[in-house]
Amino acid sequence: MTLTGDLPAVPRMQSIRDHFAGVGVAQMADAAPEYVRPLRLPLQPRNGRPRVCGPAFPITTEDDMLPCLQALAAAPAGWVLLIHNLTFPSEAIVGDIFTASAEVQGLAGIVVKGAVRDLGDLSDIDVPVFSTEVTFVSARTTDRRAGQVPVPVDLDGVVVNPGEWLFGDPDGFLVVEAERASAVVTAGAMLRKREDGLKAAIRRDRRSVAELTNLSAYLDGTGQLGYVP
Amino acid sequence: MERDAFYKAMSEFIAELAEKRTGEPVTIVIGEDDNLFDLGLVDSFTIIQMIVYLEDLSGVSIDLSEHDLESFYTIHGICDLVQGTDAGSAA
Repeated sequence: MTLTGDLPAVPRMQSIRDHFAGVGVAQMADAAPEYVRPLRLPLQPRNGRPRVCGPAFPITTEDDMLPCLQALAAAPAGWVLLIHNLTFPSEAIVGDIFTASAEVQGLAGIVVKGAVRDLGDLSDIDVPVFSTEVTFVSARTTDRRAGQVPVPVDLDGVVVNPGEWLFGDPDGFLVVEAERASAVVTAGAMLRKREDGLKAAIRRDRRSVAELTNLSAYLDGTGQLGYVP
Repeated sequence: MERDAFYKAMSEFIAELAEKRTGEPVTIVIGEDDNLFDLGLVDSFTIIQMIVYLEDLSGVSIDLSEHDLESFYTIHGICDLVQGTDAGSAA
């Protein structure tokens, strides 16, 4: 039996996901720096799906599959399984069978600080998979049962609590407290809209960044630096 | 919250934002249809403060569709959006 703590309710899960489809973590971090915590891990997409978001379901293991299987069984649909393998270098703790199950269960993604395998077969599975390592050496141990899943994990100084939102894209990963996820992704969407306007003006009107930001006047001390539509 | 009280609270909050930015006391009169971005009172980097403030004020998540984003540029639009946000839909 696995103890599963009371999982927090996840308001507006689909709405947040929909907003994130049109926003990058860069805009979210720019728009709301005090509400995001960057995860500075060398995570790489392993099956051609470079974007993921959802409430985190974090666990730790030490090259042991049992906590991973317990977490896979307990993680709700829409959540992101976040596995921290404390052993380095890691044996592969996620592969194609594990990920196929995650897909059937409706998980939003799998993020591993550690190793995964079966990259050729993962490409056919719709669940985004990220990891810091890859190896064909699979974890074979199933000895150390997790007392409880999920649990807070410490990823190089960034503690991720169950239910906090994880957002990842090709620019990196960040964590947001659950109650601010909607606000942060909305602020990111607004910044993106302004940036899109600036980008469109550059390309449509053949105007440079210097022109659009009033750079000359600012350098001359006769104007403010800012976006001039 | 009544509309007038909402306008007053929003105006005070936006003045606070401006004071934080300038480091000086700010007295401003904001028309309900003034564009807060065009006036430089709010920008893309302070919008998060306003969203968080509104969420705390109204007790619900501010959920903007792509169509709603520009409605957020005026106090009038913001009031319409917040008052149109159904608290029950946050669950």
